[in-house]
Amino acid sequence: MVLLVTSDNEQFQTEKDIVERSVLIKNMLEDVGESDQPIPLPNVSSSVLKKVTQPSTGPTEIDVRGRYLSTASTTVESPSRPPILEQSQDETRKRTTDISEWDQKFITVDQEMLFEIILAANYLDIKSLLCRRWLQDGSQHDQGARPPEEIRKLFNIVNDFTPEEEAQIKKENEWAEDR
Amino acid sequence: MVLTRRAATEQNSISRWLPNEVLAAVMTYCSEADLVALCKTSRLLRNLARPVLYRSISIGTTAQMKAFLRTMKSIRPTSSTPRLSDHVRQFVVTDRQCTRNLPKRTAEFLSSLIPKFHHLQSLDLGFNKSLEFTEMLERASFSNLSNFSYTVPSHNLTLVPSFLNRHSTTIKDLSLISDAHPNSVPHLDTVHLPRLKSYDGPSFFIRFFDTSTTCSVTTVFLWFRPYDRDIDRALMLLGPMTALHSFFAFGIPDDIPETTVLESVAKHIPRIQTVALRKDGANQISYPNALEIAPCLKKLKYLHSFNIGDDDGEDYDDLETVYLWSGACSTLSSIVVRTWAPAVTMILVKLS
Repeated sequence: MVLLVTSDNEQFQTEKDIVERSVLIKNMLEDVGESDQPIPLPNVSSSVLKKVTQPSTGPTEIDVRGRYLSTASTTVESPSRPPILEQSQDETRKRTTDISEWDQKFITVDQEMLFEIILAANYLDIKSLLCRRWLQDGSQHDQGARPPEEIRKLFNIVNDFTPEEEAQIKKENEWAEDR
Repeated sequence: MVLTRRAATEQNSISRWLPNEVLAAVMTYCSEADLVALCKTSRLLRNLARPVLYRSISIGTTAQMKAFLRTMKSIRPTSSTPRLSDHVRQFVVTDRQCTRNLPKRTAEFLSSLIPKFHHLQSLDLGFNKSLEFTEMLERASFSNLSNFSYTVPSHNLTLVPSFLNRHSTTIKDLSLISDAHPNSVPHLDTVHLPRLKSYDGPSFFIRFFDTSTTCSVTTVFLWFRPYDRDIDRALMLLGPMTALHSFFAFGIPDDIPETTVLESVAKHIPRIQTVALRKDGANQISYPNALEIAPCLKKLKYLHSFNIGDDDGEDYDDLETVYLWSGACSTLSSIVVRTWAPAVTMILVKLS
């Protein structure tokens, strides 16, 4: 077991093989060696760490539709495992074939949380979390990409192109579009 | 303070939440279609997504090739955006059609464009049979080229060694396609590729490898033409390859029996671990054939995997062959008697 301390000073007892999926923590443990000292994670809050390291057994609580999307907060049971576990090599192949249930629920956390998870994944160096298909909602757009308008809406992006620029961009990427 | 609608949106925007390098890191996992969509959303995201989109260029049709070249021609670099060609790490032509019937000026533009992909790591022009890329062979230098695949017009053969030697510290995979008759090959300069791992092409080219190249290669794919009948001479060239563990032969003339090939394998590369043989036509391995092959396998003391596909094998039981061969060669753990294609039944026995 490894003791982790988050930015809001909460302590987490976590299994070693789970935390070692984070390259950052793995390297830290290798440098420090076996120790009872807690590992500080000043860039990760407890709510984010919970999402990233939920244990594999038993139902996991995941918020669906947070503040931005709906006022009602519900919880669902997720039988599948959190993404931090998905890196285990023997399962990689199996896992890539089904875009897991976890993905869908993962993407429906509110946006703020989604961004925080991405930041934490980057900080902790967990590849499997960064490569989630974050542009998809898992139901409507299983094939192909979202239209640009939808991406803008989803992530509050302002279209700052002039109409001429827009026409030019459409043209310049034509080679990648007709498949 | 009054916020305009635009300012209010920007406040919550993804780009305020995530730093550019994280956005860029996430984008490296996006599909091509996602990247195209991202390019259309905003200036910031376009600037981040464009380098990722242009990293890997894969062209499959003439229309696609024309559209790509139009783009490369029309986008001028500005002080804030580098050249599109600087982003390209991989350039692949995936079909013969792509370069066929290109107007002359377009073809010339393509030929002059490829040498400008300075950061190329992988260049696959194997499917191109129409353009010669002489300028590239003569002058281009890519600082990180690791995979190179090219169909060589016979009169360009003499240019290939100097091109390869310009990339001697980086090339690991080399694939050459050539129609040159083994007896009419001109003299070529020595090829020095001390990091070469995999060679795929005609046997005559191996004659020009220097010692460090020969000792570095671990995998060889030899392609035979109908007039290429001297299998033993080809395999003799592999003899000095001390690191070689896998040998694949394609297009062996139909009337040359497998036993002839395997005898040469046993003679020149007896320590080989993986062998795959493909004949020009569909080959039938009858049980008497299998009996003849067995003693050849016995001589290969390190053979791990033996693949001899392309057989419709309806008249007899393949399993008998598999047992016969695994009995002859105790190190074998994988035998494929029928074709590699998934549509056809494959007999693959893992003997553990």
